[in-house]
Amino acid sequence: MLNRLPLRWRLTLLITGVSAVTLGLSLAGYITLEYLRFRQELTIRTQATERFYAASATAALQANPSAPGFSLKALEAESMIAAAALYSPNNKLLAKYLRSGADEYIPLPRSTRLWDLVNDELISFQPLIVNGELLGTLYLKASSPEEARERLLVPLRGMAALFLGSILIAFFVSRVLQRSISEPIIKLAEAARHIAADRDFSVRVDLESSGESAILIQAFNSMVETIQERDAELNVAYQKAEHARENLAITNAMLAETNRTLEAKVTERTAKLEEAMTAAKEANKAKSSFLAKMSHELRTPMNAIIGYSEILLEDAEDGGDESTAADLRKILSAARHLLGLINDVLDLSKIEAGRMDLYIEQFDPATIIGEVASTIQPLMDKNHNRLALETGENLGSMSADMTKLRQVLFNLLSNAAKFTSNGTITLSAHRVKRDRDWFEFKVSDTGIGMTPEQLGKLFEAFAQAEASTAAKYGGTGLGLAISRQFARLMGGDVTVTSVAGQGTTFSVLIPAVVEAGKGKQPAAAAAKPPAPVAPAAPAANASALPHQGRVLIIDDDTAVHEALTALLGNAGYAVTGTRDGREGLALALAQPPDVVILDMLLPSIDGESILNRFKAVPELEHIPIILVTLSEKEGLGLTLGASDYVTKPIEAHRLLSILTSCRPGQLKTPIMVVEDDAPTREVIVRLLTRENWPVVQAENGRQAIEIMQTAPPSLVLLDLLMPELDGFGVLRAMRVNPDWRDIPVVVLTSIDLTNEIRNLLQQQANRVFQKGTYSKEELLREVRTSVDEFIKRRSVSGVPFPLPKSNSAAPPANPKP
Amino acid sequence: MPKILLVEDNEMNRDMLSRRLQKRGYTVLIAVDGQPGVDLARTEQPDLILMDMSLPGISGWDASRALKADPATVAIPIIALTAHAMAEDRAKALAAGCNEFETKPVDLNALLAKIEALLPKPAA
Repeated sequence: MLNRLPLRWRLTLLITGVSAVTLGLSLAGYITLEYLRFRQELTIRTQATERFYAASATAALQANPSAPGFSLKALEAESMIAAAALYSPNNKLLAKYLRSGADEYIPLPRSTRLWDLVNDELISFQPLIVNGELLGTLYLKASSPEEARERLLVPLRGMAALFLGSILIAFFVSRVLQRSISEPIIKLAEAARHIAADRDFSVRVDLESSGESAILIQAFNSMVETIQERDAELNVAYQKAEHARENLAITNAMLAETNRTLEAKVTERTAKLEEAMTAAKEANKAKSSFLAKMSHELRTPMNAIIGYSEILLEDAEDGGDESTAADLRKILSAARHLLGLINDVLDLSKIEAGRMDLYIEQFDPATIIGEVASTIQPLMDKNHNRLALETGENLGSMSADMTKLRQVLFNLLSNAAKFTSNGTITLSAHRVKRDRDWFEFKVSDTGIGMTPEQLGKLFEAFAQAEASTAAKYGGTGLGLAISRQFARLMGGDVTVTSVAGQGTTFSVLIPAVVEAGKGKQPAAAAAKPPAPVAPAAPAANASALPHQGRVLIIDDDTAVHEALTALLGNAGYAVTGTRDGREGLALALAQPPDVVILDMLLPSIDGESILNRFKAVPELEHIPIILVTLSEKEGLGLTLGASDYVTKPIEAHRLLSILTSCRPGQLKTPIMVVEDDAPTREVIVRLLTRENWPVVQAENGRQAIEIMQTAPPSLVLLDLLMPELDGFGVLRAMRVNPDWRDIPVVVLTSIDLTNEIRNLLQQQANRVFQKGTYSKEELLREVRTSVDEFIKRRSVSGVPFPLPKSNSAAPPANPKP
Repeated sequence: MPKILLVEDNEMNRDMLSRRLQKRGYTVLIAVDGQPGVDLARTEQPDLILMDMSLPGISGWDASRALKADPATVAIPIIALTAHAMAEDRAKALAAGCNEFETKPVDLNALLAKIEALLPKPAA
């Protein structure tokens, strides 16, 4: 019950109660003390009275044993004596006194003195003895109830009043006192309630107080303050989290946007690619219909010119007008030449457009040889050449495009006749069995022959060995290109071997049974499955040139393969080829080529994907890729990481010059190796030269700077610790010279670099290699990448690329005859 | 004199070839398109027909097919005059029933040889 009271009431009650108990106890003590004192006084007074009356009684008894004159009446003066008596020795009552009004009786004498505690009475029996003789006994009984009442009850009343007053005072004082204790608690409670309800941590309990409550308030305040701080921190953290969440949302949105953009880009690219493909197809279609039209439109007037010239010539001859006839013959000759040219150009265009059809028929090659021999005879006679025929026995018949074979043989023979004077031209035909049944026709002459360089361009359209030869010997320069294409259409080939000054031999290889043309596709391309194309045949002349590097051709067009294999083979490149993009990737991984020539339009997997895959593989990403495209939308490929592009039909000179710029061996400016330790330098130089890099060496920094002034290198491999001028000095010198600033530097050092130095170097050098911790592949890759980037950067920025005097410049473009 | 029907739409070609054939003693009949050519062949019964393949109305192939389908003209040999080296044109001509073909521009000597080979021997 007490527990349920509010604290302040409990406190009040406690204080009041304690005061009451204290007061009560002191009061009781006082009363007890007063009572004891009263009793003692009574006893003393009674004893005094007793002694007086004992003496007087003794005297009276001595005088008379019955003491007749003795009276106890004088005891009236003694208010506390309630009764008195005098007994004789035989207990006969001699005198007695009773207080008036008292209800008393006189008892028989006893030998005791006692306090009757119950009635607050003192009873005493005093024997009166003289000389050992009992004279009598004196009895006294004292009691004073009024006095006792006065002595005890009166102060008790006052005390009670005092007690009550004290309690009241205690009560009120406690009321005041409890406030000092309970008020802080109540205030704290209120503050806590307020904080809990309003989450207002700025609330402080403001109360003048001391002692424990002050400590409590202070503790509470500091607790609230701590909470407030925590709350503030929490708020800040929350806001930060909120901010971060917002940022995340923004980033997510941006990411989504980027994704959308990316998707859009992919779509756009795909659309562009499709567009390019459609354009290519359209262009091809347009080309075909143009060809069909042109063949008619060009030939019709030629027919008229030739026909009327012939009529006029006949008339002139009939009429004996020889001078007119001679002029007409010239017109006819020129017209026939022009027609031949037109036919050649149209043929070539048709081949390139894949529109050249084969007309397969069975015939006797011996007959063809006879026909061609008789047709070519006038040309043979012109340069006083002798035509020798060598036909193997039992040639049998073959199944091929007779007209085209005849044209090929005629072309080769007329070429031989043109470039040979007073010599012998041999036409041979043999049936050879290798993997299959072949016919081999050979046209050999004893003419001027050709150099390996001339041979390389031999089968290119419009390329005659020398521009001047066209003027001297005439001809379109298309004959060989067409002949080779015709042979290839039939699944065969035309190859050549030559020694300058001694003569040339052309070999025509045609299958005995040519498969009928499959639709509009070039027969050979359709017939052969995708497989690596072996390096081209003309090894005899190719071996004469230094090894220029490996080229991988990925193109589904057989004609492209064969043309490029011959061209690049003759130019000294080792050529590998495939018609399948995936296989190209596999070949490249097996033996990384130096350059890849990639067709953009492949049947199974498009060139763009292959390009991306090449660029995604660390071992292949540095390999320059030259794209072969149909359209001029080259920007697409270059943005995808290709080094350059050529359009179909491929221009040999352009391709060769691109290859030259791609190939390390063809790098005109050398790589500078700056290293003071000769054996180390030797190792690096050997490593680089083995990879066909041109190298220049410097023994220290000063020498390096000197060399750089005359011939800036395309990359510097730099040692740091060197005499005269160290690597840091070289770097400083290079970075302040605008011509040298962008030359890549690869630092090779044996010192343990501190982070500081390493950071410094990384700002100034492209790469830092700690000696003994890198592989030579890593170094070479870095060299390739850096040089590649450097060349690109220079060619883009238009800074003239420093070219030293060199006689190995790209071959001059041949003017078309 | 052997009678040759020349079906040719190009005026110059027609003129040249007819003049040169006439000069060599052939009687030359002229038609400028496929249908007149077929009609003329039926009425005139030439000894040989030189048929251009690319004609504006009925093409040379269609005309040849029509002639070879008609018993009245089936026996008349037809030499197709085709564009240069168009294998499919030649194959089509032979498929249409032509007996021989010659590419344009016409090599007169070669053509004359083919004409002589196809003309009925001593019928005259």
